[in-house]
Amino acid sequence: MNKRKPDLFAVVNGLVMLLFTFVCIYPFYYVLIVSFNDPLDAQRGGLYLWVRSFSFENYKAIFQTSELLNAYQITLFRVIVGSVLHLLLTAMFAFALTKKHFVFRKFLTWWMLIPMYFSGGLIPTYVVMDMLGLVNNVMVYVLPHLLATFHILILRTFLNELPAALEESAVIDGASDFALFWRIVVPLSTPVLATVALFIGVFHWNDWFSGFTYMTSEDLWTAQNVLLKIIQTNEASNIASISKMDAGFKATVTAESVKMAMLVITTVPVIVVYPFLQKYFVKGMMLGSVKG
Amino acid sequence: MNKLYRQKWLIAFALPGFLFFLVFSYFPMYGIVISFQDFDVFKGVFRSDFVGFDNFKTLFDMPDFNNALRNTILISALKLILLFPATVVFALLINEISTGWFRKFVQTTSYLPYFVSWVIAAGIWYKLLSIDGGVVNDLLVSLGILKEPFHFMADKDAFYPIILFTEAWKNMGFSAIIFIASLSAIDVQQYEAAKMDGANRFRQIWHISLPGIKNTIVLMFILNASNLLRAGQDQMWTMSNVTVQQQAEILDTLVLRYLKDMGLMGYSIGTAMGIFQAFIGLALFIVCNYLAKAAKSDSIL
Repeated sequence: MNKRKPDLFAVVNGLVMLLFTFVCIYPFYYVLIVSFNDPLDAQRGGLYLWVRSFSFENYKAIFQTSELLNAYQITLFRVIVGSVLHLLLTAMFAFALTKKHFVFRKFLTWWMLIPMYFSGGLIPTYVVMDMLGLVNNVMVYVLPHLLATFHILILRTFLNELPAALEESAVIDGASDFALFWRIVVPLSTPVLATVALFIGVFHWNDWFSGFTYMTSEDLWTAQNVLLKIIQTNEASNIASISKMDAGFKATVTAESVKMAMLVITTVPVIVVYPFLQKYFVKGMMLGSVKG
Repeated sequence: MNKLYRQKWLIAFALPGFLFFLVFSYFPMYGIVISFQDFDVFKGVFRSDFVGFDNFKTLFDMPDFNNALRNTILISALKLILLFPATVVFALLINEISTGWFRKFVQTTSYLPYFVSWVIAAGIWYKLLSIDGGVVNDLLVSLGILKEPFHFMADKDAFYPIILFTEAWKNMGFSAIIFIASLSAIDVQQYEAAKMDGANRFRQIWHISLPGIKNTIVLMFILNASNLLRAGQDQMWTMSNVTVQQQAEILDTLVLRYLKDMGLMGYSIGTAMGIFQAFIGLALFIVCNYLAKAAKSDSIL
């Protein structure tokens, strides 16, 4: 912004910021090196900066454990199916709301806004899910997250800014709203659709609450749920559930080291998409604050 | 009728959305009724006995609830009072970095932790703060600050500091974005004029940067304050354990515990808690929104 000669303040500030960056990155790096280190060697401690004895054992153990593979499959299912359907419905709903002449426009705008400010709470929601047969049903990962008011607002704002002339000419040519949506609106809004896709994708990948709340059968858990259980039971030094896994791992790995590898596998996809995400944050943040 | 027919596609596009909110948002609002009932799943919402405000009376007599309510407000208030100013300072410091690539680097890395789940964050910090071979303990012991490893995650007094630290670690960089965006909108000429007049860096921050983002600060503070009853469910559930449960229990986690552990017995009380939280939340939001509108006039938002 304002170019100044480096002075004492700039140096101190630079160092403080470097320290801050270190604190942000190092925890991830540390987990990474422990996960790639030989598990038994890692128990000796003293692993800080690099891998001492390289090994794939932890990752092998994960890919040999059917419960973990199963959990990652369920996570992938909800990320893909959940995000695609979310995107489609969000685009359709937002498109309808931007049509000034649409008879239900005002009503539907209020209809989607009210739930932002008031909700019935967890237990009534659970009762509804139960009545719909969604408890212990993988669709509970998808259906309650088909739409989000915030994402509709982002898309609506974008569509409102599109030049009206584009659509008008298509309407004169006799295009139906259906054709308008698929041939003009969807292609033009790819950048904002990509943003919403990344946001909802990361949500689906990260969400542990649905699995924890609505699944009593652990076979239906996502990777985040399994990870949470491993973290928490381990810390309560109740390794009963983990020792079962350990037996399967032929004692070449420790509960601790497998945990690190799981943390890495569960973090990497998010780190891969986040450079793309951050391009759109500022805009998203601004919109998010204006909504009030 | 003809008009409706011409809008058939728009209606078709909006219909899934209408049904979605009806089922997943409006149906649960019927929970307001459950909170006034002695809810019996076999009788259902429509035939359970009404007990008036009994559930709410029970609620306020429950030590669990009062503890959770106190913790919720305490944790939210601590986050607001300590982390909010820290975020503003962080944004000001980033803004003072004059090397473009370095500023970008710091900013980009600062919001990396925001995108991982609290499950991951908890897993990482449990490991780092662990008593056997945790990096933090190793460092503190080797520097002579601690004589022997300290069990951070199982200490009642250490819990709130850890919660505040991990919250800052995870969310501060992201929350700072709005202030940084607002700072970049300040006219550079103001700084140049101030420099001509001999104002040093601190005076420039005090007299130009801070007043320049004052409205954004006020607005964000008010919006944050309206979330007083949301102390961070994900964080509290993932970071806590049996030892610190008394300190870590907030309203959200208590309701979740009622649902998971008490089963049908807890439905009415658990629902009453949710409704209490929703109404207070709404009231706070309306008050804060009113205050925000008054403060909004010339902010960038």
